[in-house]
Amino acid sequence: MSVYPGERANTVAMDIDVRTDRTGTVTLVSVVVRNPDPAPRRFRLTNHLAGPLWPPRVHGVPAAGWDDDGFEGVVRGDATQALGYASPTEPPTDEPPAGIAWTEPAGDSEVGPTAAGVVREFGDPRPPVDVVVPGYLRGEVPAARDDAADPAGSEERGERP
Amino acid sequence: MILTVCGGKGGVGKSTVALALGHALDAVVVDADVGMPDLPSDAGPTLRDVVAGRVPAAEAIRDDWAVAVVPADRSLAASRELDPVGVGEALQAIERAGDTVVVDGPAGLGADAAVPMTVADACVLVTTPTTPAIADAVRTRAVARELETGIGAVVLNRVGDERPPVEKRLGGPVVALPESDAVARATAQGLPVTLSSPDGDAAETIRSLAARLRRVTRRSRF
Repeated sequence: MSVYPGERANTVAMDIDVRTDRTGTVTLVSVVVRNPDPAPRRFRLTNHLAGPLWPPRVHGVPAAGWDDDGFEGVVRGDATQALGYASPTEPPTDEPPAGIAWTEPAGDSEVGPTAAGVVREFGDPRPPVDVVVPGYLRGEVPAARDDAADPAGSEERGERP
Repeated sequence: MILTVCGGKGGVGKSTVALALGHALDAVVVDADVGMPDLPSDAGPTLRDVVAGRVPAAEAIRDDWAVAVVPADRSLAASRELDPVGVGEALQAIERAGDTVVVDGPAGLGADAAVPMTVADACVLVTTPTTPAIADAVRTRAVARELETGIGAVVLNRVGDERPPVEKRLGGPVVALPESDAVARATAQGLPVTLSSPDGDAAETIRSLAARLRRVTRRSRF
């Protein structure tokens, strides 16, 4: 195993730790990118190994952000991101096998999963308005709270399975 | 710390596990299954009121019972009103007010299930040994991974005499909770099993699960 600690990315203050493990005929490269800035930053990680980069895969396709040369993504402010890939190439002893090519400021909306992002992706889980009988049709005063005590509400009660 | 109990399929024991875990961790249990809640409720403020900003998080926490609870409403109108994005913020507000939060998540794989997973430090995946439940648990695990939330533990609930080898499919250490009278009794009474049968095997399993989750979440924070 080789460790390449504390290389400071030359563009903007972003720290990167790279280590490699050689397992059989495969080199596993582990990278931790640290953003000491309070604002989120977009960065590009490039592979410096001579051979091909084998990215992590989800359902057989490269995971989001990965391409043939490396990874592009956003790391939150004051946060770290762990990355890893494989390659058949033997790691060099004198230089880190991966490095940060560039970084740039990123918007807050680009950062990882958020509740708003989840709703955008999954859709609004709320029941359609048509299924909700308005209070005035149930003979209630419009301002009445719809809580567990009302008879219409109890009909919709979910039973413990 | 926010732990979200999830599982995909309904009826696998999410609420049973959430309640017992909440008791063992001295946590606030939040019923996020709005519209079809399982946890006890009264006429007081609910998660919906916290989300809508009508009451501060601390006021919605019922701490006069064995387990501190934030209940959910029981109507379609209530779930219609609930802003799913606000649920995430409300859970974080309850965490600030109550320290440790165990979220009893809804079944399914919609945004209502995913939002509590997004804000969690770890998820607790609950499944029974049946094929449909395990299939849904595998899907839920994939969603948790996409949401960058780790699975702190997998609970295999209602295990019979033969325990299926599910570690590989669920990709993690599995805690088995055997089918037992103690758990059935606790569920019927609406009590955490750690309170109704504190000396039983099930309570011991829940307590060791709680200890494990404390370790896992402490390690993952930096």
